[in-house]
Order: sequence, then structure tokens, then C-alpha cells
Amino acid sequence: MMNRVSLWLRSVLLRRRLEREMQAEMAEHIERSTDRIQARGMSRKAARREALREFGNVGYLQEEGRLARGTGWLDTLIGDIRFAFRHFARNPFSTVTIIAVLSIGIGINVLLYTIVQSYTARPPVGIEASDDLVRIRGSRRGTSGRAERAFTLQEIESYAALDRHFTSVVGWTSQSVTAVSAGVEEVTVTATFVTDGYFPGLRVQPIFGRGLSIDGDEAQTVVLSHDLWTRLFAEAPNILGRTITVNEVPFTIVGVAPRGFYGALREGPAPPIWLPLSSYPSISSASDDAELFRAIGRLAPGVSREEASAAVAVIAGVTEQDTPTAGNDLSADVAPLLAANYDPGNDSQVVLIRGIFGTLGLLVLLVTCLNTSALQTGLALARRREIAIRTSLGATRRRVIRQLVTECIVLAAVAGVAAIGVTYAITRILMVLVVEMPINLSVDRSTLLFTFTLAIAAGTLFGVSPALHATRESVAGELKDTATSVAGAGGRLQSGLVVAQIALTQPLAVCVALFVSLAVYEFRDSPRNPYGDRIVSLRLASARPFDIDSALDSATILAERVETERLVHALQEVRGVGAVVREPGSILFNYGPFTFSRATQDKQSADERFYLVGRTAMPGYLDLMGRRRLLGRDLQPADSTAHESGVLPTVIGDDMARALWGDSNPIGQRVEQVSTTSERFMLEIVGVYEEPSDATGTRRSAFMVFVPMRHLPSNRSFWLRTTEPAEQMMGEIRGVARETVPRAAITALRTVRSMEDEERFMLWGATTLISTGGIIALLLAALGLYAVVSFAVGKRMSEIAVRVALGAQPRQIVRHIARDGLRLSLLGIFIGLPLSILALRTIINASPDVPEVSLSAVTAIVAVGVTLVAAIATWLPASRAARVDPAVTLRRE
Amino acid sequence: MTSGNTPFLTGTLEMIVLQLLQAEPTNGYELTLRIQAISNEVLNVNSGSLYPALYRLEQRGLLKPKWGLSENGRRMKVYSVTPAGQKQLAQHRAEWARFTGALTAILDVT
Repeated sequence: MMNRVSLWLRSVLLRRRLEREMQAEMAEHIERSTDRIQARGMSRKAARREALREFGNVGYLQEEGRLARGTGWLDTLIGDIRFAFRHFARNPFSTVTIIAVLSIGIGINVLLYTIVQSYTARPPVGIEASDDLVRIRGSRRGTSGRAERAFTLQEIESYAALDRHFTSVVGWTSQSVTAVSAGVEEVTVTATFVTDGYFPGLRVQPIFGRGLSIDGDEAQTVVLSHDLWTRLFAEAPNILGRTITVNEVPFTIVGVAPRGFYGALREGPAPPIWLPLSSYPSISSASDDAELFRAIGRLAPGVSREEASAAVAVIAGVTEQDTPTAGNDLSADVAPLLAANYDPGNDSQVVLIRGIFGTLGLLVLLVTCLNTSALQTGLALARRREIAIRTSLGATRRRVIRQLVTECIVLAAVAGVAAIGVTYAITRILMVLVVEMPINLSVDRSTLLFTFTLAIAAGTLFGVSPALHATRESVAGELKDTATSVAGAGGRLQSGLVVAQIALTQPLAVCVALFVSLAVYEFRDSPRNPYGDRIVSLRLASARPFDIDSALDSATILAERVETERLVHALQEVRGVGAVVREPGSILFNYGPFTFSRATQDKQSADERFYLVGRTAMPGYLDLMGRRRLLGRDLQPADSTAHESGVLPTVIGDDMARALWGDSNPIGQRVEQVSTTSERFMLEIVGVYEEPSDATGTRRSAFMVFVPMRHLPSNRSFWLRTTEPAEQMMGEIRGVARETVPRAAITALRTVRSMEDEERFMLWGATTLISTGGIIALLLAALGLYAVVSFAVGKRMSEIAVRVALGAQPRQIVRHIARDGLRLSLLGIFIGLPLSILALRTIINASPDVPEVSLSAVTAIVAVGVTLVAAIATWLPASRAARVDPAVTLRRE
Repeated sequence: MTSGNTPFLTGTLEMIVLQLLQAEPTNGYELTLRIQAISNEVLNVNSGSLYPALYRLEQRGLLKPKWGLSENGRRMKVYSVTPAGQKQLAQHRAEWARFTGALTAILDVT
């Protein structure tokens, strides 16, 4: 068997040599025969003729010889490919159009695939994929499914003790700190405190140095990220042994992480540094028994993730029994280390993302293939004369189809290469532009495989049907009369393709246009707070981040509460700080359906429904945010007792007041939640505040209302209002916080302005990305539509010429053809309408905040756009054809 | 024995080629002449059609070619039978013997 394979390989690889040898051998044979026959007394010429006759048809025998070697198919293929390229060179415009359409379509698919793959199947940037590398994820029961929970160090140690399941378990906690090199530049960085074996555990080798050591005398060591090394030291090679200060504590640099490594989880845009956990007390004031840690592990050989999950779940169960707040249903599981799967609550979203991207990709591919198919049909039909001649010369239908399909595959392969190039360029640009890209966008082997499978499959599948169609005509029919093409069977296929193209393009364009308008809408709809630079958010890590309602009597909680109160007072003492309000940051009801209360409402229908988002707020919050009070009062401390009475004093925005009560005074009005359960919120309006103006002026699908807290917030988040721009006061605020609450780490200290800037930047990025993608998709659809329609019209050239020759006016002809085109377009739009509506419904159901105005507008714009493109595509070639001298057109036929 | 061209039975050309080359390795041209000479010109091999057969046998690993020089200094490709070719020939011969045996038995029926 091996011998046969090697012989076959030899005949393929040494094809040219074997071909030469065959020719030489046959020539030698004929030469010797000639000598032999000449010796009988014939002339040389006559002898050679006789020798050739004796030998047989040389060309045929050589072909037989090639077939005998098993390489005949290869020669045919090479011949077909050569022929294909010659054909492309003769038709550069169509070729480039098909390649452009295919490569954009495939490119979009590859990009979607790359993004999904990077998010859902690849480890974080800079970490090599490995089956035994896993995340250990904590979870607790949340309001909607399971939510992520961080571990205590003790819990991580329990996991590390599972040495039958894990060869290593490492944990880390991160916090924002200030790093200074040689007293020069101050940079905010993310300090990640890691347990022993962090770098070896991830199999990441620092480019300098040996990584971290946990020994007591070497506790004050640090590994820099590549970004920080570049920023602070300009990539100086003699970096080891130098010092940086982290929150004023000096650390010796013992390593630099490789470029593009940001840790097992990228936490924020700041460049990271890694410090041994033993240095945690010198930097952070948080106690290390807090739930602050995340973990990864290496599975022991032969241990499955399921087994490891079961083992960690048991430990999480034990942890739950030890916590003061039973009933949180703590658990833990083990999942492969991927870029975006740190939160178990997101697992279902990953499936959704895959589904959405997959469907979108499929739709794009369908339209692309339809475009290509239509273009190929047009091209193949235009070549029917050529095909007829080849068939009459003895080529079988199969042979011709093979030739046409080869052309499609060659085109698809070229388009695949172009698509890879485009995707590679886009991912490189994204990776450079988006500094905090948490995923590794790159074109890898699986992407290449995916692309080429896709390209070849698309090329073959949609190349076969035009080829079959073009070769169906009989030779005689084609050569006898070219005029059959005027209303031939090809016309029906083309019309069908035009209708299908429009029907499919429309829902795709509607979805894309909706996405683009939503993105733009979101971007515009984020008004800035005019006092943004004077409002500061301060957040401290809490030792007990979860709800403490059930453990009010605990001494620890009480102590913590006293401490927090002390901090509020201390912050109020800072010069320049006007107000300090605690931030509960919780949502009492989200998109809750409400209706007017029957008790207070007489004129409005009690059936009217509206949706409210109920945020808990502390007294003074709205004033601190700079919102103007228009009517009534703010929330008051005493309002918290209202939770027992069942009627919550509520502050609303003027948009809701206007929408629900018009000009009449809403103070004292009540609304009640529509709910099937016994627990229903009744809200009484006590105040109306100015709602920040909405840039688009569209009606929101839900109103934001503010309701009182039931208990004091358990977290440690505060809002501070300063009298001057707050940026210079940050150091003082930080100092007061650290001094007053030494056990709690500061997790955030920033102005509303900087938060808005970041949000706008992210939104801008997302908007640009979605818009660019959307516009490309729309262009693709328009290009495809144009090509299909104009090809269909181009097919009618001879018909137009005949009409002109018979005396028809060019204007009449254009009108006639445009009417045909319009009929097809309208049919396509009509068929596509249910699909569009279905697509819109799906999107609207998925995101309730879709502005109502955009729906009809988007549909109308897209319908008009599609008709316009179809009209241009009909009109341009028709008017061109009508202008041309009929004699020229008919002669060319 | 009648004179003139006798068509080949399927597979016989392969057997003839293997048999003659096993007796003496040679090139395509000589092989054509030899077939005609030994069969008293009864088996008229269309000389060109021998080559596809030679390539087929070579491709199957039954023949091994080698380039050499003829007596008058011309380059020629000499084919010899490989061990696999010998095995194949033995098989062909056995089949042929069975076939002719059966045919003779039928013709002997009186």
C-alpha cells in the first residue's frame, strides 16, 4: 500500500520529468522504427510516415500514458485553472466584482467567527491555550440566575489542598494603585496581588527576570507589565533591580511580563503590575479575610472538569455554613480558562452571542452567495456560445460543468485569501486602537480552516447551479439563433434571483440599519452632567459585599456601620467638600409594569400600563447630582420606614410627570405595580425633578423613579460634591479614606466627568465599529443588488437593439425595462417584508429600550434605499443599451 | 495457426509484457519487436499502445524502469520485473492455465 502511495506521489511530484521522459521514449521508438523501415529501402520521409502509422496516434497515446500514471486529473485541473485565469483576464470587471462581493461576505463571516471564537473559545490575551488550565469560579444565587462571587483567601487555600484534583491553584486580587518611577511620573496601575506560583501556573515566562518570589525577605518585589515597562522605562534592558514606588511603598523590579499579557483576567484599562500576596498588607488596608480573590488552577492528569467541579462545589458548600449569611446558596465550579467566562451568570449569554452572530453570519453568507450565484449565472449565460462550441468539439457536459465549477472555486479561493487579509488587517487595527481589548483577536489556524471551508463551499455550491443552467441549452439551439436568449429560460432564473436577492437583502439591511441607528442613538443619548468635574465617586471594598439584611445584629456589621458613619463625617470635614451621600446602587424593580392606582385616579383609564425602573436613593442624592427640583420634596430619612406601610414615597422625573399627568400636578398621585404575586409596590409621588434632556426627544419605554432605601446601604460607595473642580482634591480624599477606614481598600476614586469620558469613548468606539460594519454590509447588499439587476438588464441587450431597430424610442425602452425592474423589486420587497418584520420583532423583544420612532423610519428608509438601488441598476444599463447603435449590439451578438 | 492480427484478450498484454521482461529486461521498442517475432507476427501489438501498458505496470510497482545506453549509444529506458511483478505473473499464469484447461476440456467434447 505504502509503495503504491509513494509511486503515486512520485508521479504527481515528478510530473514534468516523467512527461519529458515519456516524450523522449516515444520519440526514440519512432526514430528506431524509422531506421528499421528505411533499411528496407524506403526514403527517410516515407519511412518516418510508416513508423508513425505503425506507432498510432501519438497525442492520444500520451494522454493514455498520463491516465495510466493516475495524474490525468491533475493535468486537467491545471489546464482548467489556467483557462479560468485567462477567462478572468478577459473579464476583469466581473471578476473583480465577484471577488469583492465574495471577499466582503466571507470577511464579515470570518470577523464574526473570530470575535465569537476569541470570546468564547480562547484563553485571555497572552496565555497559551491548554486543556488542563481552568478557572475556579465562585457563584451565589442572584436576582436573575447565578452571580459571580469572589473567594476568601481561606477558601482558595482549601481548593489548593485538593491535590488529587489540581496540580496547582493560584489566587489573586486586584486594586487600583499609583505607581511612580524614580519620583518622576505617576501612573495609575492595576496592582494584582498573587499567591505563590502565579506565573508558572499560567505557564507565562517573564521576558526578564524570574518572576515573583514569596519569601519573606523578598516580599517587596514587583513584575511589570510590558506596557508599564515601555511607559516608565522606555524598554530599558537594565531594568532588574531598579525600584518603583507603589502607593508610596518602594518595590524592587524582578521581572517584566511578555508583551500582550495582562493576567488571567483583564481588570480595567490601566496597565497591570504583579506583586506577591505577602506585600498586600503594606499596600492595602483591606483585611485578607475579605471576599476579594479569584482563582485559576491546573487539573491533575486524568481529572476531568466535572470531577473537579464536584470537588470545589463541596468546599463552597462548607464555606456557606461558615458565613454569617446562610441562604445565599454559595457554590463554585470549574470551567476552562477563557477570556470572558469569569462570571458563571454569563454562561447563557455566551450561547446567545453565538446564536446571534451565527444567524447574522448565515444571513450575510446567504446574500453573498446569492449575489455570486446571480453574477455567475449572468456570466455563464453570456458564455453559452463558447460552451456550445466546446460541446460541439466533443467536450461532454460534465467536462464543461467541471470547468465552470473550477472557475468558481478559484474565485472563491482568491476571495478567501482577500477575506483573510482584510480580517487580519481589521483585527490588527482593533488590537492597536483598542488598548484594553480583553480578548485576543487574531487569525489562527481554525479561522483559516473555517474561511477556506466556507469559501470553497460557497464557491462550489453556488457555482454548480449557474453551470448546470448554462450548459442545459442544446448546441444546435444556441448556435442556430442567438436571439433565443431574449426571453429564454435564463431570464426566469435571473428574475427569480433578483426577487430573492431583494427579499433577503431587505431584512438584512433593516437589521443592520437598526443596529447602526441604535448605536448612534445610544451615543447621542448620554447627556453630560454639567457638574461632572465636581462630583466624585468613592468606593471602598467591603469585607461583606452581599446583602446583610438577615444579619443585622452581628457585631462586625455594627462596627463596620459605625466606621462608615465616621468616614462620612470625616469626608464632610474636608475643605471644599460640600456634600457626601451614600450610594445604595440597587434597583428595586427593573422595567416593572405599573398602572394608575384606582384609589386616586378617576379620569384616566386604570388599564394603561407603563414601565418603571425603580432605583433606591439616599436623601440629597439628586441635589448632589445637580438635578433641579421642580415640584414637591426630596426623599427624606424617615421615608425608609414606608416600606412597612406598603406605599413608597417616590421622586420622579419631569418627563414622566408630563407623559402621565400632562399639566396637572402629579404630587400625591399613586401608581401601583401590576403583578400576579402578593408583593406589589405602591408608589406615591412626592417630588418631581428635572430629567436630563434627551437629545433625540423620543419617548422612553421606561421611566426612572427614585425610591427610599429600606435599610442603610451595606456597601461603602459614596458620592461627594465639591465646590471646586475635584481633580486636585483626590489626594486629600484618598488620604482621609485610608486614615479613617484603614481595613478597607479604595477600589475607585474618580470624577463623574472621567466616568462619562470613558463611557463616551467606549460608546464612540462601539458606535464606530458597528456603523462601519453596518455600512460595509449595506454596501455589499447594494453592490450585489446592483450587479444582479444590471446583469439581468444586460442580458436583454439584443432585445433592446431589436426594439430600437424597429423604431422604438430610447425613452420608451428605458421606461419599459424600468417598469419590469420595479415590478421585480416590489415583489422582492413584498416577499421580504414578513422577514424584516420578524427580524425587527426579535430585536425589539430582546432590547426594550428601542426608540419607537426609529422602527418605521428604518423600514421606510431601507425599502426606499433598496428600490432606489434597484432603480439605478435597472436604469443605467437600460439607458446605455438604448443609446447604442442597434447594428453594433446585434453584430456583437 | 492463421496469419493476421489477433486481438488481445483482456489482461493478456500485461501477462505477455511481464513474461517477456522477466526473461530479459529490455526497452519498449525491443519488446514490441520481440512480441511480434516470438508470436510469429500473429500477435500484432500496435507498437504505441504498449507504452500506456508499461506505464500502468510501472505505476502499480510491477515494473522498474532504468535509463541506460543502447549498443549504438542511444539513451533508452530499460524495464525489469520487480518481485511484486513476478508474483503477479505467477498469478496470471495460474489463471491462464486454468482458463485454457477449461477451454481445452470443452473443445475435447465430441
